Amino acid sequence: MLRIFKSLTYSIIGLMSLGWLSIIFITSMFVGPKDNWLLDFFANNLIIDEVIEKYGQDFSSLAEGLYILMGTMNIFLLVTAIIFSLAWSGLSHLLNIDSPGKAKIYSIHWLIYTGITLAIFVAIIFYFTKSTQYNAAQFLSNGGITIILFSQTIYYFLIYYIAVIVGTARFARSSVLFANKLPGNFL
Amino acid sequence: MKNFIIGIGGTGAKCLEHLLYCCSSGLGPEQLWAGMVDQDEANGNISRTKILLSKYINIRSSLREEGKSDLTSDSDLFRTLVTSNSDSVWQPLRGGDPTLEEVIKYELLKPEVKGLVDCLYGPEEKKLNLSKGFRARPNIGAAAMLATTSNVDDPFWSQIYKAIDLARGGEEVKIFIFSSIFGGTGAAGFPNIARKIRAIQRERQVTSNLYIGGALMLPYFIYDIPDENMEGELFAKPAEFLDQTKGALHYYSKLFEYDKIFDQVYVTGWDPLSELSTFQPGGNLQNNPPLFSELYAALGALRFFSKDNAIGENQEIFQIGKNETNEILWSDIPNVSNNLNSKENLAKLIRFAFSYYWMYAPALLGNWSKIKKYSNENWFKRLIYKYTYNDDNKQCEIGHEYNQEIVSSMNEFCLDILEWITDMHYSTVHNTDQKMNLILCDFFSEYKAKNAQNRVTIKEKLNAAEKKQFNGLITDGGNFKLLNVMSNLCYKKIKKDQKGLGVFMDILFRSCEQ
Repeated sequence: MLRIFKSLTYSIIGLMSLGWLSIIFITSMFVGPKDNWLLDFFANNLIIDEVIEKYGQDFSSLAEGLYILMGTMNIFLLVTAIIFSLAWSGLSHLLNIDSPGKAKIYSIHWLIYTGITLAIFVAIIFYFTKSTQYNAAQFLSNGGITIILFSQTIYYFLIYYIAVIVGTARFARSSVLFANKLPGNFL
Repeated sequence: MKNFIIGIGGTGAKCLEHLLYCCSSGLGPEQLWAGMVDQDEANGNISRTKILLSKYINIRSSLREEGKSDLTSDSDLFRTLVTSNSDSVWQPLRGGDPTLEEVIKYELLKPEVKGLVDCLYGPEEKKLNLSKGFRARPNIGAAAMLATTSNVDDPFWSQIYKAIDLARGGEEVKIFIFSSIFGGTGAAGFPNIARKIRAIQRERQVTSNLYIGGALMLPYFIYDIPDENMEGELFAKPAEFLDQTKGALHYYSKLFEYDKIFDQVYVTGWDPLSELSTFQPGGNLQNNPPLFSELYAALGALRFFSKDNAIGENQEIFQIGKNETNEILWSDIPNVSNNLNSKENLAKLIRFAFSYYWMYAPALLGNWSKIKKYSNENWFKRLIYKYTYNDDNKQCEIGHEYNQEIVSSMNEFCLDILEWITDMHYSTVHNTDQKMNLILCDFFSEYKAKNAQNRVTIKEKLNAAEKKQFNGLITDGGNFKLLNVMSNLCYKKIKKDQKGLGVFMDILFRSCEQ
């Protein structure tokens, strides 16, 4: 049990290595739009100007909704990354790796698990950017959605992956891609 | 402190066998010299222990080689430094096919002494070929042993002289003797060898620091004697065991009353007697199984050697027995001392043998091209690769001859452990109402009581379902899985100064502790 707690601690440290950026981002989204590079980036890359004009809106009134959409979506993505990485780190101690050579078998399990995690990330992003739940979503351009999809998926996958690499039980490291490259006595 | 152990006769050798396994589990003292006494040197029991003794000595020395493979003194695995003579067995009577007549030089005796000898020994006893031991005739054995000289040049006795000299030099010396009371060699040797040691002690004017202990085995097994070809043969008859024991105990009680030969005597027996399915009067075919009561004798010896054992002025006699039910349980095994838990260490040794033999040795045996597939696994990286890596040629040398010898000799030793515990498990209770409840072994072994040379067959490979039964291997209600062993292997702290394969062996052994 102690080893599981240790693994969870390492996993949390792994989550924090990149996760702090996400927290700052989420906080700034809920604080609201400010005239800075981020607002410019949203305006220039994510929004379709023609639609704004068509509906007779200006960007400043739309930005608030977009910030809330982005903030909420990032909370969901972060929570998913946390849950899935901690769950793997804990459960890796219970995988039945009882003899040499068996850890590799569980790489299939890890791949499936990671695939599911990625799919959930994509589903969350699609839900927020494609559904009518958030008004701001209809003003997102296809290019903007693609940017959000790729950047957010890669970013949260990295958070998850780092947390999993450092949190996986030592004997199960061969089942996680590149985790076996860590030194034997590391963590 | 110097410790000496002497196993007399077949039973003595078998007790020594148990003691060696206990020593490999860390229950033994720091150092121990071991020797055996038997006229029947070819006896199967003797040869089995002789082989085990040399295996123990070899594997221990290869795992305690400073700078190469070193378990270090901190490790419990093979903790005891066991030494022995190049020939660990002392034959009281040398020469081919000696008889009592020849030993006592009967023809040269005066007529009146001849008459006395004739009163004590029948014609067939005088002419009995003693090359296969004293055949349950302690009267012959006693005469033969007393007729031999305890010469300082004899490798066996030179060790005793050395022990006594050490005691004279102020070092504490403990000598322990294993023997049965109902056989020939053992019953004859038990008091006589101890008396000889005391005589040497007196001769060398050593008055302190020398302690003698003994484990006396009362009848604990019987066997059926085949009807054919046994007429006229002299051999140990189970029907005479109790009478012989009664006579011997009477004699010992008188002896101990007037002369303090032993400081501590540990007495054990077994009721109901274990039934052996095979019988051989002697020779290499006599290969009796290890039995539970012999483990008591071994633990008695270890208690005697323990630093906690305060030996008093008066002779002490200890008895031990199991609980009154028909079940033999872990709780029936006494601890060696307050700090040494016999059950814990033996259970650890059995789990170690299991996991090494079926899980880890197959991965470590062979050349590098076969082994390297495990090189990315944490246990391998941490405990094998790092410690068998040669910086000069930038190679992991686990596949090299030196390391492979250690891996395969440990594999052989683990097989011996599994055979020993399994054989004891089955044979102690075979054909009786008793039930052995120490380990679960039917899933990895097969028992053929009638096949004396190969009573127990250990499976070469186990399937997944059989491996899963590891958690019930030690029947103590615990749930210790192979997964726990693997996990421990990857997390247990490596002790300082450990080297080479010593690192892996020690961690695997410690990983088997629940």
